[in-house]
Amino acid sequence: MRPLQSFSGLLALVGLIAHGGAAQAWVRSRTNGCHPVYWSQSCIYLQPDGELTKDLPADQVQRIIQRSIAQWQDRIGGSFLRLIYVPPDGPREARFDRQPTIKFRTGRWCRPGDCQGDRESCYDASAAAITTVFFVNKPDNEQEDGLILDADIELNSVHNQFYDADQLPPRGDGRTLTDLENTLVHELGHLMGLEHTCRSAGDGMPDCTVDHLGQRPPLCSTVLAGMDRDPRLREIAETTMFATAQPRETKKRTPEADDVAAIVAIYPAARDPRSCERPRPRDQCGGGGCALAPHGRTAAAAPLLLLGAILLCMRQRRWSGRTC
Amino acid sequence: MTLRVRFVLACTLLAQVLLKSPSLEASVLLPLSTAQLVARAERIVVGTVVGQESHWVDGGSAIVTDVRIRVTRAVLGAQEGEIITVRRLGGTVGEIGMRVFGEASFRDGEEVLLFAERRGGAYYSVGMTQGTLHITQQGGRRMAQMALGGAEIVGRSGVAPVVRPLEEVLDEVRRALAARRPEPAQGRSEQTR
Ligand SMILES: [Zn+2]
Repeated sequence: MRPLQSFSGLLALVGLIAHGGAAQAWVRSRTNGCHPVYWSQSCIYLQPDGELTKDLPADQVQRIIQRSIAQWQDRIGGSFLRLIYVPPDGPREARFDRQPTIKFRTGRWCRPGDCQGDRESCYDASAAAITTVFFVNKPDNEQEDGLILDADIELNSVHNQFYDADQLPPRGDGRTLTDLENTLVHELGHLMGLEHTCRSAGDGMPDCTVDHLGQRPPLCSTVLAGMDRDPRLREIAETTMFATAQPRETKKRTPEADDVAAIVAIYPAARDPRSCERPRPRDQCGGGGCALAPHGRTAAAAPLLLLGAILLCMRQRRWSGRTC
Repeated sequence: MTLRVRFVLACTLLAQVLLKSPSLEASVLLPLSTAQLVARAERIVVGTVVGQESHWVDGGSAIVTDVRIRVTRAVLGAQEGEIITVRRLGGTVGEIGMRVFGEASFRDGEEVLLFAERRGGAYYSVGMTQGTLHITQQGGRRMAQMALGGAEIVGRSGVAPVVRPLEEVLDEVRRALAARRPEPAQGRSEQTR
């Protein structure tokens, strides 16, 4: 069954009442068909690439990643969704492979090309992080449209000097000082399917995107211009999923009531699909065929997921044949 | 039918079905002033979006969209009447799409003021959404609207409502260009209309 279209609205309403009519404004990312994106299983395994940023000791980076996950996990007890940290165990790439990955880009702020002539795609130097969520887009199929298949977070360690704001800032080296946890907690919100709580012109957000109360998200500029005199706007600006940030900001480290309400409403414990399988390593797709195993899924999404797994296997067979 | 043929057929079928799922991406951006946009830009034009085409890159790991823009006013690195191509991250190919929060977005037929830089083999909007100003008519004036996109703009200076008369923005661009490069390259100077 598709998670929570009307039920989430009910929970949202309850949440709104519980918060005394506070300006909750959480927004779900939507497909072009206007269906919200969602994970169909109980958990998301997240694993960093083996090469972490060199700005911090590896064990500290791992602790910060785990802390970022815990910032959500410790607050969403009413939700079935679990973010599960998997320690790095080797090279991982951010790509459509059903293996949610955290990837620090340290040499070049680029997605590598392949050996068939495609060049690398380089990102904008001013982007500190990019989160990608792959999902099924079948506008006419309400059951499948929006089903998340994969998600990756890429962090720009080329132009950003990631640090832990709990400690003294490191000696600058010309890169932008950025609190790693503040960045990660926000990106994890996207990874779980959340949209920003405000919008801007030309941001690519589908026109049909509304907050959980059915309202168009306010313009970010409106929120920022009015937040000092309107507590409701200030509350929106304080959310972890708000679209703007301050230099060396840390307030996004802690999801606010609005952010938490979103996850609990979208993935309520009462609707736990009770399926949580760890993605298979890509090398299990070698040999004469794809060694497929269905991952955690809802019954409705199962055939699609199986097909997706076969497709990914096909791609991985191609990748595994690279010689460059 | 051999197992291999069946495998290929299955994969082909699946490709048709699944190579059409969209994705979202989110970004955390640093703000760029007009001077910074100019400093990075290799092309600055006012133009009209005449077409867009999405395709896979990087061995099928990402989708990009090539946006064709007919130049109506060349400020830097282009000629009036020329059609230039700017690439944006994301798009839709079949039933797979990819969206980048903070990336510039374009609509067919709209007019934009574009700051573009070359990265790899393509031109991109400088600062993602920040380098694409959407032009609208307001009270008979052409206004340029900075699209902050889904980006995290660090710094309050970068988040104020930015809807300014196009000519005012272009004046600022010209000043920044003069500061960056006192003698504009031949054939690259603005053609005033
Ligand atoms: Zn974001």
